[in-house]
Amino acid sequence: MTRLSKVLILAAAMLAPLAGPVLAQFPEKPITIVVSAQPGGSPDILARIIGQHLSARVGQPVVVENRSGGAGAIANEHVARSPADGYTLLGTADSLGINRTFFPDQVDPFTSFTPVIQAMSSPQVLAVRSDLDIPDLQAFLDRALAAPGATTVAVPGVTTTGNLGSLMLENQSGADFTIAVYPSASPALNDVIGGHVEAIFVTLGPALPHIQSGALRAIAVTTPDRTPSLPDVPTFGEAGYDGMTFTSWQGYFAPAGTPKEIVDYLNAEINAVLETPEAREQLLLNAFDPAGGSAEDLGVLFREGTAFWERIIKENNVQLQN
Amino acid sequence: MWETSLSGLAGGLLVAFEPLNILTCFIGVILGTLVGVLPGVGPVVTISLLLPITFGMAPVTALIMLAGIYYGAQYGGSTTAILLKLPGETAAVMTTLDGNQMAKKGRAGAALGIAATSSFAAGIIGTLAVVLFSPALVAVALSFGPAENVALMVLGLVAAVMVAQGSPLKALAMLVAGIVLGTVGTDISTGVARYHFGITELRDGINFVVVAMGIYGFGEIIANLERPPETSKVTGTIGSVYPTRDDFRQSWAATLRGSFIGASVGFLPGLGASAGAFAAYTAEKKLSSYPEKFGTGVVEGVAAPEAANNAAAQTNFIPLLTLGLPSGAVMALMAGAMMIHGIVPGPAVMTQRPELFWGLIASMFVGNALLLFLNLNLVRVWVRVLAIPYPILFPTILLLCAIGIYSLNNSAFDILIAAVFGLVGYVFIKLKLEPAPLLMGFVLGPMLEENLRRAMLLAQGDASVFLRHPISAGLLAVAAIIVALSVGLPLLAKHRRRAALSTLVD
Repeated sequence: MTRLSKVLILAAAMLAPLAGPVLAQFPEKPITIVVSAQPGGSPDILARIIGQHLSARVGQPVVVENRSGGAGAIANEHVARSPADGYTLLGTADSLGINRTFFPDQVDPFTSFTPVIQAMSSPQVLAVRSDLDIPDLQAFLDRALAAPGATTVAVPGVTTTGNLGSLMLENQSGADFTIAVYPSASPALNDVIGGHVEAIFVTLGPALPHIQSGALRAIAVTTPDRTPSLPDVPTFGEAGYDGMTFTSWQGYFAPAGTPKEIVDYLNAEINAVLETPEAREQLLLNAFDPAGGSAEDLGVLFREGTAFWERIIKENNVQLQN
Repeated sequence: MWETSLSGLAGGLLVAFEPLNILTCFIGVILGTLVGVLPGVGPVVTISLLLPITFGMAPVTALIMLAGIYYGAQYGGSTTAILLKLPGETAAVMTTLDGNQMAKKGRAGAALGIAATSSFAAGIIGTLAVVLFSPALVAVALSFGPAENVALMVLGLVAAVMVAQGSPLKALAMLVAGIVLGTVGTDISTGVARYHFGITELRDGINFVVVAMGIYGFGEIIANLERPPETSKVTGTIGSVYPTRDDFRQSWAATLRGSFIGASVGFLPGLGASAGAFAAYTAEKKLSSYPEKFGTGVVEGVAAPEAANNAAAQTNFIPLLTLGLPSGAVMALMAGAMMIHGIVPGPAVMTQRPELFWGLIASMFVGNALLLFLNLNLVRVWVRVLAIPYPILFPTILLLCAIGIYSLNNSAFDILIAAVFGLVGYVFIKLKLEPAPLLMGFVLGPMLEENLRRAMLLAQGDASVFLRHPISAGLLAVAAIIVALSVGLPLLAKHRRRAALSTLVD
């Protein structure tokens, strides 16, 4: 045994009592992931896939708890009030930052939560009905510029990146769309495929099967690089709209004050889950691009993303008013 | 087209009859019946809880079980509706009207039997509709845009007034009250939360189940407390446990009509089993030669809505299986279950995974047969529920309701809301106001508003869109005819009577 390794063992033995009491037994009871979504919604599906694999790794059940409502406020408040012991996590998304602008009376996500891990990223896609003669983004915008208001775009909610993205595109191209707001992606897709609306700006996941079946034609994605699910579809940046580059994400947060050892443990375990081929396959099928990285990475992403959307919301003067 | 359907179905039956699949189907329908009977606990909660258990199963086995929970719940939902005037499921609201009256007359067993047999007939008809008409129905479903939905909601609201017992003016008032309640919550078009009084939980509106549990369950119990015990009990003799031959003779046509109405409403996205039940009950009342008896315990009043909600539960699968478009929370969960198993719902399922598509559909035949057997045998058990003394029965129901309501969204606030609606329901009973139109307004009102605004927006403010679209024009015409007949005929009769009177005087 070398001297160095002896020193290391000694150091580890000295440090162990510090980490031990917190981490030795964790987790000794089920872990709950609280999502602000109905069962079957995308945060719910993501949490169930990750929970299934995480449970196998940590040897405790991982329970998904649905607390939808109040634009996430109900789930946020619940987790913010939960003990900071790592047994309650918040499954949330970039909307956590966006909603902070729209609903200033909610709990402050920056002081209430500590980031654990970014689980996935997901492109937003602008797609048109395939029976329309619109081959690409330029044709779409030319058509909209020629007849202001005649181009109809479906979006899955006022505070979604689909709606904000549509407004940004109007702003940057000078076109004028008629934006129809739906409660979620399903009914919006329904009306587009049924021929009642011309285009849709939505998360790729729910739209992907309809793009693959040929009912919809994707004309641009918001990611910095082309997405693996749609290698032939250009990004907004390629089409000359650099300002339209953004990525939606989902990730996990713990109540503020959760011990760093536990956050790091959960981060490492979920990172390992995201590396599992089986989990990757399930995620990709839902058009969730597995993400991962350190807890700090999520912190940076969350801060920068929130600042980006705050600016967009201000620039486009989006308000929740009639 | 039908040849491929039938050969596909034959293959599907082989899958459905595998012993493991029969077993999971049985487990699914038993669970479904159970959660249907438990007030408030619905298929959405149950399926989401059981989803992780199905991870280890073969995809088709998992889907067979989850589907069984859904349509099984439609059977179970009628049980408490009939026995306790407490709709176990949204779709069972209409069943309370005549079903509970039958129970009060000592015919609970007959009502439960009719509910089971008409549900079975409808389940088979609905599944056949899925087999034969899926592609054609999909085209119709897709042609329903915002304008068509508006016309459908208008027709539904007109029908709601027609369904009501007694004064149409009271029914109209209740309907409007329901629509007003429906405006609570976030407006979809603008994102503004309305009438939430700073309460976060109200930002998303009030859940239908919470209102229904409060008005029916809690309200009925409060009202029962003030009646002396001997009169409040359902008449002692339960009579024959099973429906008589006359019951079947009287109700088979209603069952068939209800099945067709339910099957055709069920495949429209956004509507579901409850709209089918509303429509079927209205149609039956309009067609009957004794509409005044509806609400006093006629068999058709049980058969039609029960048939409709079960047929709709089967055809609800059509948009998901053929287009990948879930038509409600349960179907969204089924879509989630398919995704977790690596199957993307959509047109490709039928061609690429025929064993799964047809296996699931074939299992619905098996499941409905199991449910008929199960429910006819359970009738004896359920009828005994009525013999439980009230001091035990009432607290039990209250507790089960509270658990069910809490399970909807893990929210204790919802139980408080239900308690408030319990008081409202008690006042309604005192004032002899029928709550069904209120609940219909509550369901249809927000959908009408959402679609009306969307239709006007997409038509750039041109209101003639409702008449230019043939389907919407047709539906509006039907609504107009119903109004004209209901308002016009009595006036005409009055006029004739007056004319006859004056000639007599002359």
